[in-house]
Amino acid sequence: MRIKCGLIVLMIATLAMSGCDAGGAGAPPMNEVSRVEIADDMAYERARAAPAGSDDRSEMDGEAEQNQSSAQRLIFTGRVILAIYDVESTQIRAIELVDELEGYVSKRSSEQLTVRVPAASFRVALDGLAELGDTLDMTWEAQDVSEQMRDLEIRLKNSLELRDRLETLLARADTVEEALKIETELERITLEVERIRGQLESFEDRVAYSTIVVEFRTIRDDDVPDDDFVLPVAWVNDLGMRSLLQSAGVR
Amino acid sequence: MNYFKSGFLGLVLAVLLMGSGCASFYEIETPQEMIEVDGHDARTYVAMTHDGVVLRARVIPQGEGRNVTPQGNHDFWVSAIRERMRTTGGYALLEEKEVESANGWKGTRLEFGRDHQGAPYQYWMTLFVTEDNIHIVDAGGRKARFESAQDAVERALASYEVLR
Repeated sequence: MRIKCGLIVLMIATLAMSGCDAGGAGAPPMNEVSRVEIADDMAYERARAAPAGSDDRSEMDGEAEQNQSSAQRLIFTGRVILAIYDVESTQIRAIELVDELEGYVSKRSSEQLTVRVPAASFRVALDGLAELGDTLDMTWEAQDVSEQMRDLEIRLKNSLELRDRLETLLARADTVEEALKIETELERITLEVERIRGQLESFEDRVAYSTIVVEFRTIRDDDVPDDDFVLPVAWVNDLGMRSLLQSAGVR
Repeated sequence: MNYFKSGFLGLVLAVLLMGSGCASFYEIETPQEMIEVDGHDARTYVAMTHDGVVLRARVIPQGEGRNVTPQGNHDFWVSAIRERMRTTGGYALLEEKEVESANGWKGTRLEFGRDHQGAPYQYWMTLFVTEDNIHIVDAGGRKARFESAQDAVERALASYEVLR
């Protein structure tokens, strides 16, 4: 009895070691995993990873899966700084543009508008938003998260397989003690699965929808490089509405 | 004899006025929708509508000497002012147009916009640069009021003559 119990504990430990990590950066090397029947969860994950428009996602073969996981996945983010003028109506036009591109506004204040648009429309949206006013600055970047997502997918796959094996073991457990130990491990691996899924979903969301922040503001002093010039001409610095209104005694 | 005497006196007076700098550097017609609020001297002019749209002309000397703006050409001053207004000034450049004074002097109009305490303002600045002077004619006010006064502002600008 003791030998059997010890054997089960050893199996759990071995399974835990084999399934929790992938061979990604910073992770221990992935051990070989035995082929098991694919659980529903795994099929779900495969379907999510299948390309849009796939007729039968569940039939995605190994090659397609490999292609998908090796496809480049990019998170596009952009920032546009517009000079402050007629912010209310500019924001309304920005929202209309984003609606046309089937995106949405995720945050709005008097100084900032954060929008999310389908990745395919990222450049169109960025250029369109920049044309809404006097663009003082525009930046964008594409962050390649292919490797991070691939690591997460492998870790998820291994964790799901481990969970299946633990469930099989649990069904075969002879004693309460054995069952408790397996359940503890099952609980841990289930939490791990949920955590990885959350990370993957976050990545998938950010890959599918690009984020663009539109700021309405003047160039702040700390935006101006230290070596920037100042013309030594006093009246140039005195131009503008305030000086104009004061000259007429309006203020 | 009297004709000769009075003509001579007139000539002397004209020379004295020019020498003392009292002769104007510009001419402008105040539109009927505005009143002059700051007198009409040789280098400055200010007028406004009943609801606070202000029109101003200033002539700034440029050249050599102390307290004189260093000399620059038209393109230099347009570029300097455009960037100053857009960056640290916080104005949005809405449009830039080539214009001509009533007496044929080439100039540039920069049309800016800016929000102040949540309200949008429009601000136009027209520049004419001669060898000795920089003429700046600016006009502005709350967006809705400025749009109402825009015809008057444009008529005043069209009447502006660069004299020196």
